[in-house]
Amino acid sequence: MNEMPNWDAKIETLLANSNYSAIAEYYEHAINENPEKSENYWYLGLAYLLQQEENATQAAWFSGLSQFEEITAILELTRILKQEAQRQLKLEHQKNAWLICQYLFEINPQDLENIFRLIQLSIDLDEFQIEDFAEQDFVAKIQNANSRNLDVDLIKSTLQKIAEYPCTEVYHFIQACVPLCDNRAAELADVLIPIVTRLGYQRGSVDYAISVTELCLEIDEKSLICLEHLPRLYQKARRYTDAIAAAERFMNGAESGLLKFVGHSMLLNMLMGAGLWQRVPAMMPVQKQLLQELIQAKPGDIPLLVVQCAFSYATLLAYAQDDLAENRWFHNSLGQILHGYLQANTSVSFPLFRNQSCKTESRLKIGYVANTLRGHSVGWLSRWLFQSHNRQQFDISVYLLDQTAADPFFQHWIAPNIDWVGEFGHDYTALAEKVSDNQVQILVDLDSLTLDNTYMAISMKPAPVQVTWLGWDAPGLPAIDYFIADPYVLPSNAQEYYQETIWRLPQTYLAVQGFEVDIPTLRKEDLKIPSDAITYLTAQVGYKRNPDNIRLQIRILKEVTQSHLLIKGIAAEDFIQGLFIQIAQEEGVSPDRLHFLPQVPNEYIHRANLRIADVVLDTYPYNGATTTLETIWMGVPIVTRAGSTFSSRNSYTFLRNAGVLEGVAWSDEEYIHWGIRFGREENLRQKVALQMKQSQRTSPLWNVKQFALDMENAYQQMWQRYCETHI
Amino acid sequence: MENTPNLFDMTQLAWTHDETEANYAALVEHYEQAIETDPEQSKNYWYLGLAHLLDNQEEEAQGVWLYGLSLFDSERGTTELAEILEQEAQYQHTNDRYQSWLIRQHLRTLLPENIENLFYLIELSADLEELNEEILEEFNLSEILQNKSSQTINAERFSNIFNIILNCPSNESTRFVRACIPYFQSDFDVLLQRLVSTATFQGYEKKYFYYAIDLLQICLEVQENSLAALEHLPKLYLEVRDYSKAIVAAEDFFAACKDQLLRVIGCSMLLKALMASGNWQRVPNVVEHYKSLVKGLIEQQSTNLSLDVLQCTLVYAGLLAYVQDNLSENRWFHNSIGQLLDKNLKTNAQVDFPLFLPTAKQSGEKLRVGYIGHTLRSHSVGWLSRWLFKHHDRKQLDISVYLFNQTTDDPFFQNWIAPHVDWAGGFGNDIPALAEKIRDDRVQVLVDLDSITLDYTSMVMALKPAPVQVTWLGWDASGVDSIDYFMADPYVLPDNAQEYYSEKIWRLPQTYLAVEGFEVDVPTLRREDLNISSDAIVYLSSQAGMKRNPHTIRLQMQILREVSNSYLLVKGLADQVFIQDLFSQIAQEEGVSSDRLRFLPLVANEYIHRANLNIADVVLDTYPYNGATTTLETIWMGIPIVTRVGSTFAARNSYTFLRNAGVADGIAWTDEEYVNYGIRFGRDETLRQKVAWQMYQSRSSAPLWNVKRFAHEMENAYQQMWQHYCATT
Repeated sequence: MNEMPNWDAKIETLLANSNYSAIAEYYEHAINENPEKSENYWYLGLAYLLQQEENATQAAWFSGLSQFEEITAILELTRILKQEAQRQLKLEHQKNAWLICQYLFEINPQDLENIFRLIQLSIDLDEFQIEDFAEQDFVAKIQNANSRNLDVDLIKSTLQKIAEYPCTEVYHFIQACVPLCDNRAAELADVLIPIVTRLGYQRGSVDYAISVTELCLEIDEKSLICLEHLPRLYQKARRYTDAIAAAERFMNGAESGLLKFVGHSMLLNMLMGAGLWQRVPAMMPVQKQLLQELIQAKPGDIPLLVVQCAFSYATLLAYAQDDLAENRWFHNSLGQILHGYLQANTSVSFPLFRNQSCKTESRLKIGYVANTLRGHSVGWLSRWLFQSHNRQQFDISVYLLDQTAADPFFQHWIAPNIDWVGEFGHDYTALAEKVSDNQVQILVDLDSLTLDNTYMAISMKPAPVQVTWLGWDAPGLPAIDYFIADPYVLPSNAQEYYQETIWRLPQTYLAVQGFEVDIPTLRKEDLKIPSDAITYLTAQVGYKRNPDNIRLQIRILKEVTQSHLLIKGIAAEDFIQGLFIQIAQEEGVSPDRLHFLPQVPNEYIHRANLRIADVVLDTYPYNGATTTLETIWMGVPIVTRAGSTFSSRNSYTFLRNAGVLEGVAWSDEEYIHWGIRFGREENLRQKVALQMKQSQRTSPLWNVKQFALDMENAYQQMWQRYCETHI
Repeated sequence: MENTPNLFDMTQLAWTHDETEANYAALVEHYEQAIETDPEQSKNYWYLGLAHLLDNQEEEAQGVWLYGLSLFDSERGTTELAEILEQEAQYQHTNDRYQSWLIRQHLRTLLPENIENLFYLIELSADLEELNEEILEEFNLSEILQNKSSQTINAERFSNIFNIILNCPSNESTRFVRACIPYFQSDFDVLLQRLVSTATFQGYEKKYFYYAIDLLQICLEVQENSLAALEHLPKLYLEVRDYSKAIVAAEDFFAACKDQLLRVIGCSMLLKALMASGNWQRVPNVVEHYKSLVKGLIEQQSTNLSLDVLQCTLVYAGLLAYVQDNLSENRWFHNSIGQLLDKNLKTNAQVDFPLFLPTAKQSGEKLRVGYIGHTLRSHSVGWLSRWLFKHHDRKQLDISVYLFNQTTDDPFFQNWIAPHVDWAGGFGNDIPALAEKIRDDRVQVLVDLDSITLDYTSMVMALKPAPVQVTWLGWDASGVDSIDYFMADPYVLPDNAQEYYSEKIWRLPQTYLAVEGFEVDVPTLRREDLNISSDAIVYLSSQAGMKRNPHTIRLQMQILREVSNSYLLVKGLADQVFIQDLFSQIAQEEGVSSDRLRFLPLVANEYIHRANLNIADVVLDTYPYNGATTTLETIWMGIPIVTRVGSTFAARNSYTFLRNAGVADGIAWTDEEYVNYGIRFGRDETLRQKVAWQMYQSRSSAPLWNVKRFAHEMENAYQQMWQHYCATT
């Protein structure tokens, strides 16, 4: 019994050829010869099993089990099956191994090792079903198992596979696995967190991601990777209070100054996102100080992760201050450092693009790189350019990061209007290499600073001409050649502060054909506002709720009798309400005149409801973009405070390009003044509303054909310029 | 033979082997062994293949049979195999119909012309809901039938097959029906009857218009002047928007009608086809003919008229509203036909009349309100009435919905109506079933959303299944005695209207309709696409051919002539050639260059249509039949509109909507005022802006958009009507 059972040596050739029917015959013969030898029955059954003749298998084994002492027999059969499963795995015959493991499971449902293999195999073979998984109740089996000695690597590799199926059952399974790993449980975080966070950020399985991350933190309360992701996951789940607490926990627990910086940035981000702006002013100088220290530190002293973090969080400046010179200095400096780091730490040699012929017979190859060509504001706004591109002159390809081309928005709006699309998950190196292989001449980045993987790809310079458009302000990366603007969205001296060359289109840096609008669901009487009262509306996310701006809005309210302010937007509702009410009280305005609106099911209804407002009050220093466009489309007058940065001049350029001059304020006083005038003067409201409506016919803002021509002209000139200077 | 086990027995054996599933694998094994033992026995191959087939191994089955057929005499083998398959197919017929179907498919490849087998296959396919055009074409029954003599086929069997195929709309079905004509030689009437009833069902209910047309054409091949067929062709051609054929078909029908009542119908159809196509030049003559025919009918006061046909006459009387703005004459026609219908109904109806059951007064109970219609789908009545359903007070009212020619699983119905009602049911075109259901549900107030737009509804209303019956929204009142009330408001009917209505006019305090708004897509049309400069004045007239009365077109041309740099965009369902000719001819007569006309194609859906309205500076309404939905959409989009108000309901819709939106400018009471307003709107930008702003502002306060209030007023009306009924009976 102690010797390892094995297939009879005589059938080695048959075995090598997987000739299982001959093997079965051999063992049938062997049983006839020697019916007392138990293992012949097991091998006979096995030979049948490998021919998918399960009835015969069962018959053979049953016959064996009825003849011999049962416990010994089962042990013997189990060992043989285990060994064969291993052999089949080595041969990479996973289907066979899976079949055998299923029988092993039937023989002994408590065998944990077999359970883990079975799960892995079913996932590999694409046979895995959550319903079946739940039905088996593996959690109870793990908890009741006698032998809990299991190879931790097997657990880890199994969890790595099953973690891709976000659901409660899988979470409980992971939870049950923790005790099995004993002192190596902390290793689970490294395996699980990258998977669950990816699912959480992109696929909407955020509750699952949070549960797993919290579980890993229970195992190791200092797990950096968990601590770093947890605030962001909470924010994604709109659990703002938890997000802030988690960011504070990260900051307070940080051991090094660099990690403190990361924590500080994160906390600032969470506070602004939640709309808890009261704490922000005091933190800003510290944040800038920390950034400055980082910029001045010796290269090499700082981990890449921290530089990336600093680079991404620098965007917060735009919400806090309207200071073109300082904001750009931070971006440019951090972009420079990041670029150096990437160049030093990547195996790819920069620049990645290949030299290309400048002969002009063929179509110019334009590549767009993005993760936002879906139901996202960048997708909604850029769809018209794709629809209007001249395909005879331009070859359009799209490179998607962390997004699938199967997305319905993409399929409807983008796919029919392009020549090629590729998906790259988060593999930015593969993306960059593909851009280079495809010999894209002009690569247009639609994400700018909003996704780190995009700027990693861009930094490799996979195309000779690289452009940032629409996604955000310019990133400050040396690999970007041009930043698309227009005569209004950047001040005339802006080039001094940008490392990218500013390319000003003749009229507008963006045009859209319009917006789909549903039926309004909100009437003034629902809010108990008399129909003749003036209604102001401000609809923005928490990030844009700078308290200085709120104060101006409240002062407008104070001056216009019988006026109301409707407040809408994603943020922690309590915080936002607290913020507005506090400022209203300070300014002597009754909070009864403030109305906090809930979110509506979709953007179509949101747009329809805009008409409830007589006047929209824009935010500053970070303006609305889509919101302003929607407001103009719906014909509602808007008051905007224009400043010096890209973010504070978006509404200004949109209004100019709709032919509307009224409502553009260049100082706080003007903002209040326009707000009061619009509230008091119906004629002015009428004039602007009808101008907006009229603009739909003639203005550059809605003339997508002209805009596409201007963009294409720009691409052609950029390419010409590249050819003149490089070849 | 003796030593070959019969498969049937073996199957039984297999059943006992495992109680849940026949063990065909064992059978396979059995016959494999049998072949090994006796490779000369041909039947073993057939049975082996059959066992494979039953074991879901179709390829193996074919392989074995092919092999067997290659070993033995092919003809004998085929016969043997066919026999075995037939035998097993019959066994499986009661056991497992899918298996039977599968076996017969293989039998068909052996004997493709075996009619008996094809008949089985068709029955089985229909049973398994697998019958479709592709399968029918594969069977190719039409060709096979042509080569057969009719005696060989059992009549009852054939009749069943004929019915199955007839109700599977496809080109092959048409071919099949043609091939079947000889089989009906003795009884063409039966054939015609079946074809006509199938055509009306498949056409009107299932919307297979072309198939219905094909069937009716076959009827005409069989019997040249079949009235039953001729009657439906014009309607079906209109459904598929083949206007020229509709006109020809209507002329044919009219010419074939001899009976006085039918001649009214024939003339009406011709009138409708001409108007819908936009071929208005011929309309005046036909209208005169029509009027004299109806007058003749009314003078006779016969009491032996077909109720169905009289219903149709009532429906077609609605055409007058498009032709003339003459309240007293139009209502006289409706009321007279309505009375004639009532008279015939009371004399001839097979049912009790009135149908409703006496209902005791109940206090504290919800008022039972029933809505009847065929338009609670993506149809203008559906779009406009959805808001009332949404805002009904379900604590006070019990709402049920009775549908004709429409099912409750329609997506529009599911989305907008179903969640807001207590009960809903579809009744196809079964008039008695629907009427009896309303009676049995003891509906107290029955609201008719169709008026005379559907003869079925009008028929149900005539039977009076509910004690209080109301017409709302669908159309003008029908003039039938059984309708108690017609919903109106202070504007949509003139003050003296009651004199001309047989129904009691119930005036809601503000508006007879309110909606919450309209969904709007992104515009797809810009002026430069039409070669129109941005400073030009653009007039838009968007209506179906039915509403294109040449008189109004002439006024529109006069406006265009007076406003320099102006254009008219023309849009709507009609025959494009007729419409363009009509406009161009009138333009020429009025001295307007036809370069200033733009004929727009239809767009993909109403959302885009609304978005594109904004291309216009001014909308020019039609008269004597106004826009309804169009006017509401225009006001919603904030575009000034010029409307000519008249005396009839149809000529006052835009007037009430404008009044209820708080807009006074653009309402013309004479032709001169219509032209003047058109010119003023074109020349005076400030006036346009004033009106656009009023329309904008109306959204927050005007009755037209205040559905809550409107629903409340409607409910008030229902309650009062019921109280009034209780007080008077």
